[in-house]
Amino acid sequence: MHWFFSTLILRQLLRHPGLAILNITGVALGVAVFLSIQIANESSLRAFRNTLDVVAGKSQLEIIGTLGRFDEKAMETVMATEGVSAATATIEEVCAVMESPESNKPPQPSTYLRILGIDIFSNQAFRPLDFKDGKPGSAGFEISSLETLLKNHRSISITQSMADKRGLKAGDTINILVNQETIPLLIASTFTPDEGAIGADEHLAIMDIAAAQELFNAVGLLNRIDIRTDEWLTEGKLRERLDSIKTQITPFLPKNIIIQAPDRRGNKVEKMLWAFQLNLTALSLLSLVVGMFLIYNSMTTSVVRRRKEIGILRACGMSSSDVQTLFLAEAAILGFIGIILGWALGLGIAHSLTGAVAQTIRSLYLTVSIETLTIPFWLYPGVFIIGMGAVLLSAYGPAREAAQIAPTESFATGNLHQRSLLNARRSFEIGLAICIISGLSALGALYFYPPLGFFSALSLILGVAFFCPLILKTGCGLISGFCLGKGWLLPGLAARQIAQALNRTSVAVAALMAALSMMVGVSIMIHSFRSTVDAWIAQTVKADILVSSSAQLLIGPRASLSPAMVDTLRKHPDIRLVDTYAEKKITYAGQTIKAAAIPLRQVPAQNNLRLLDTTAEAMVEQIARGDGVLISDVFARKFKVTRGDILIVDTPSGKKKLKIISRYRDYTTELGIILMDESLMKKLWGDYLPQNMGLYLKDPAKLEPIRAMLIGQFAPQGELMVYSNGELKTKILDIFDQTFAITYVLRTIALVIAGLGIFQTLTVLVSERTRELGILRSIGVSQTQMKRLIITEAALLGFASGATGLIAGVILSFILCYVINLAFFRWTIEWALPVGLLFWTIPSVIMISALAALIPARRAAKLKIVECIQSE
Amino acid sequence: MIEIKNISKSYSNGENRVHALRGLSTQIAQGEFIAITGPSGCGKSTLLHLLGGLDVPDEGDITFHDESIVSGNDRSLTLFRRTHIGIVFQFFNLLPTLTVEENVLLPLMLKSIPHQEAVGRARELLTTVGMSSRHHHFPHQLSGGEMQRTAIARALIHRPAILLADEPTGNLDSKTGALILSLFQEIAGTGDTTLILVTHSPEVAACARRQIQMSDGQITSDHTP
Repeated sequence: MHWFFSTLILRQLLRHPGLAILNITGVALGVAVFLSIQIANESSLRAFRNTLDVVAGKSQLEIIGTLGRFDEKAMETVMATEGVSAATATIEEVCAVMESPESNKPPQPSTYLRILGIDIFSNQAFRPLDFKDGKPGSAGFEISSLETLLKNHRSISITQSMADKRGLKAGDTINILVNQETIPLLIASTFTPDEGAIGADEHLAIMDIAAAQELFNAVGLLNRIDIRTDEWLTEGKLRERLDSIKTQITPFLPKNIIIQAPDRRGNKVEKMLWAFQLNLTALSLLSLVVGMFLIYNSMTTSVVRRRKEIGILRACGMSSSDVQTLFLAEAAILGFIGIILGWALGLGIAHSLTGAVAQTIRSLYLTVSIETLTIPFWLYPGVFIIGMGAVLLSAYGPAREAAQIAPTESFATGNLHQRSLLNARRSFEIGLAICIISGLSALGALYFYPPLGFFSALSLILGVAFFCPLILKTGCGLISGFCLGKGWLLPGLAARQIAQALNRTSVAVAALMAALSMMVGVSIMIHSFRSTVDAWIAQTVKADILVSSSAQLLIGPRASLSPAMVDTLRKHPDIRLVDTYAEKKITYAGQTIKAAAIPLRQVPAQNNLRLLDTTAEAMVEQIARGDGVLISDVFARKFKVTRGDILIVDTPSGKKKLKIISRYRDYTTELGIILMDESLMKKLWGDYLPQNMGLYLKDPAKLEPIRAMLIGQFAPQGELMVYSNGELKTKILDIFDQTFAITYVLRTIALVIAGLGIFQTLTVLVSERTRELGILRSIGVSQTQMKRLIITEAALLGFASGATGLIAGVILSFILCYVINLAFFRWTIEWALPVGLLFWTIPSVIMISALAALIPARRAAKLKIVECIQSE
Repeated sequence: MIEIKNISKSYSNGENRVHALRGLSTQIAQGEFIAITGPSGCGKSTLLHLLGGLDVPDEGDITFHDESIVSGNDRSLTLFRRTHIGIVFQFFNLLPTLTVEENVLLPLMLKSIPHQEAVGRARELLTTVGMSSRHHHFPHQLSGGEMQRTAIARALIHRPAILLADEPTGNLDSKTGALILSLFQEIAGTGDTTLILVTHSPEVAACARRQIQMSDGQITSDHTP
């Protein structure tokens, strides 16, 4: 077998390195995309877990508030509990760091710090931090860093990594933004986290807990209490002890405080990111799927080209299973090389893809900073298994076909022609069955199991791929009949050739169709989403000026605006109305959602809320009568509630029953929002601290003077972002576009792979038809006409791919918008067709295919006539 | 009509150089029926390819009506083949993706002859060669003799001045071969077409009016029996 392998397979690969390289490239690209997305996903999760690791340290239990900070008196209860050997309290906040990019420019947020306010002494049992007392030789800094942190309530310790990146050292000042105020902090020291913490976040910073409570206006409040018990317990005993501690403490904790194992917090985040990451994984797998078409195509070609060889081998006594093994071995070799190259390429592109993924996560979900790439252990064998599995799956069909070639059959071309016809009909029937399965899966996704949505999308593409043979046969049959009937030789001949070589042409068309349908489907989905959001923005963003903390872009809506500023602006003679928006992240039914508030009484006049179940006036009346709320349409779908239902919500003042007055359209978050009047939030949470503000001017012409006044009076240090209406709308759409940046990259790669398929098919078709091409040249077809023939074939293949890809893509967009989106994210998307983009799809594909044909066309034209016609 | 002046042609065969033709010269008049014979490797097919403009000699010249066909570029050779040459091959060389009628129409489509007129001529020619009932069949549905008759029709449809046939009966049984030969004799009988036929069969050669014998790339005998 070895001898056969090296003489037949390896020699063949070396003789036709171009095709082997094409195959390897297809596999490498598919593997690289999948690998880089998995690295990006894992790195972002790991970055968050690392932060948790350092923040939680060696904590075995943690007490946290479900509604934010809680009273520090809970610490007394903890310390008095039997079994608790150590406990430490923490307060935590994320603040933007303000820096001037150039000396003459105002400061702006450049990065952020995750500040832990800790009890420096009791903390050592949980997260030993190696403080450094300044660098050797630093002028006059001899006081220990711990002493500085304790005595100076405006001092902080930052990571050595952060200090190095910003050129800071102990003794320098770092400016942070807290509640719209720029606060300078003295850098007492730098530190490095415990060696046990894996790749800790450079954004961590340490303050004394009392100083932090004062700084964040949270005196008497905590974010978390960490608990440890005796260290010498066995695993079973430890679990018992921890359960005992929980049981003792729980009855004494207020309703909005829970005690749990630290890793449960990570689970909630992973749940939040799961849908996003699953969608990315599905997109990345498509590149691999398109690569599989390439392998299938080239293996089929290899079999057809070597059918005489196979016939001879069979005639000499080789078994059919050995023939099958030989071809699978060829595919495996190419696949193995492709996977190795894919690994190298994947690691290379992982960096840029990770950056894009992290940016999207920051925009949509939570603050995360990815310092190092994390390659999960399962990925090493996983990529190999998935890649090789894909390759062998694609090669199985052609290998089986090779094994079934009888010695006598291999010398007759007629049978191949007839088999193509049979395949087309049967292929169509199979495609129909798969499309029906796709439809059923879509229903399954909506009602039972959301991941079925991906299966539905994939089966649709696969089903349409099986339609390609019959589409080509019928379409090209009609074209060739028409053209040859008119005496148009080249297009007629080209169409006839495509119809007669279905085994190869239909696979190339299917591959390009798969990539195109994804491009079209995703484009329509994004366009629909964008135009829906655009319409929503037009309705809801009506204020002339919009104001928020400048830190929001970095750290999300954590920083609130100064109430004094809001009051002042309400009294400004040029400002007609001040609208505000406040939100908090809370837990509802075990999931993170947002509780938000605005002055709902202003909605009728501004008409800036798209209510789905009532009018603005009726809504205001109901709000005035009792504790009613609005819910976003995403919330309604997520928790299957509607108008009239009662929500039981945890608030600082206990569990509250809130009646749903109406749903409303929202596109700010997929978490879901409970929207209430500002007075209700004040009543339930004890405060109403808006993060965003909208100003309606009496005279819009005064926009710039008022903007200047705002900055001059309230944000001289760059603490505020002040946007005009037009600027904010542009900004929102920029963020929207950014979140989909990753999908543009993935679909482009899939298109490249498919384009390679066209090139490969044409190259093979030319090499297989040398005799026919020689005949044509012998009877008077010129070199130019020969090139035109090949390019015409390519253009026809491109047209077929474009047309089927367009139709499949439109159907796919429905699955994306109304199945996958609804099942996972629950946005309301009003489907819209981007006519301009779609108009250019088919011409672009035809052009790309024609370009892919240039080299094969040139080769065909340069064939030596005598050699061709003498070949058998 | 055709003058061959001192042509030589060689091919590389790995490390060796094969001299297929060595300083060969002859003349061919219009309407002649010539059989070129000789053992395998004597250069007869090479000569045919050069006469048909499928290849160019390394040395020497070939003129057609006093115009050299070897000094031009690929375009001029292509035009020469399209206009003046019809070729019949040993292995038929029909395009498998075209029907019998479409294969025959090919040369006329290249010359942009109006389609109706071309179809008319094709059907007439197919009737002449006895293939009118098979005009919608594909090559793989035909017997060897039927394929060769189709190839002859294709080679004649554009009324070429020269018809070249390279072992036209080499792949046929004797009965079918005889049928094909009789067709060639009919064509030669009209006097409109110069027919040059390459064969290693003395029986086939005997049908021609002039026999050229070749050996080792040169003409060893040229006579009219």
